[in-house]
Amino acid sequence: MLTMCGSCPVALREALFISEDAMLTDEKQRQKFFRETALPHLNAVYDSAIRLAGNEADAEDLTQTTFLKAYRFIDKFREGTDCKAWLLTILKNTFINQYRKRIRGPVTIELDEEKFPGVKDQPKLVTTIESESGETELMGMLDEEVEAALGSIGEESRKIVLLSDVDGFSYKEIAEIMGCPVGTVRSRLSRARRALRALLHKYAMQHGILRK
Amino acid sequence: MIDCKKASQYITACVDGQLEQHLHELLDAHVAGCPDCEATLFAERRLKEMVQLHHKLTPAPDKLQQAIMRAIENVALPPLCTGAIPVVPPRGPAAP
Repeated sequence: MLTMCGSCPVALREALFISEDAMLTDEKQRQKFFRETALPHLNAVYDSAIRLAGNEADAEDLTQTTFLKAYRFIDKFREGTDCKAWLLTILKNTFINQYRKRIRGPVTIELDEEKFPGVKDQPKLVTTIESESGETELMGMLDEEVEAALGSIGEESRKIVLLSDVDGFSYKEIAEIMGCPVGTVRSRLSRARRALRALLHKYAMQHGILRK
Repeated sequence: MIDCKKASQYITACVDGQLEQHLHELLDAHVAGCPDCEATLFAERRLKEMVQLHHKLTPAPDKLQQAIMRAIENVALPPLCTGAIPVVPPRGPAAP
């Protein structure tokens, strides 16, 4: 004869005549669903977490917290919708609520005419990059060149471009993440893109990707 | 009708899908008659595509995936009781 020992699941199962398999089914299904749906976005979430946190240790912590929250609320995720966007929203909220005050330093604006001669000229980079194939120019740019250009416009500008283009955050969300007004996001992003265009324009000219 | 200076302020938000509808209409009207601004709009769209296409994600460390899965498995079920299950002794005659 059995007595309950508090929360002991063995005793509970036996008392209720429920097999271990039956009890585990739901959790196993949740774990399987989580593994197949959420976990493939681990790199995307971690990549964004590094941007938000600014260092690897906090990014790991932030990513883990995000995935544990996602697991807890996996029932709320609607199958067929964008899981990566859902995870990034959890990441953003977690960062804002728990990390930003601790991690974030002062925001600086690095772009100036002296450092980036093309910034104010609004170069028409890709305007002249048209070719018969259409996509040739995009393929002509290598990952390294784009990364190098992103690395040359200053950390804050790089961050804002990637938050918008790679993570797909809205201006309002970026403003929350960066702790600044939406108008500032808009103007910084605009300047960062101009700087990028100037840098990639230079690269394209040097490598003959651009046609005059 | 807006001028090129105003249009250039709207182009980034337009590319990001963040421009209010009425401003979008003003920009469209301007771009339709301004090849320079049309080219800038096109350039900015291509740039966004380029960044999306070429940015390399920083891979998460292997230990992070393992840590997440371990944590989830622990969250999923409370730890099983490994101790002896207390058994109620059979009722005997009442003690004198």
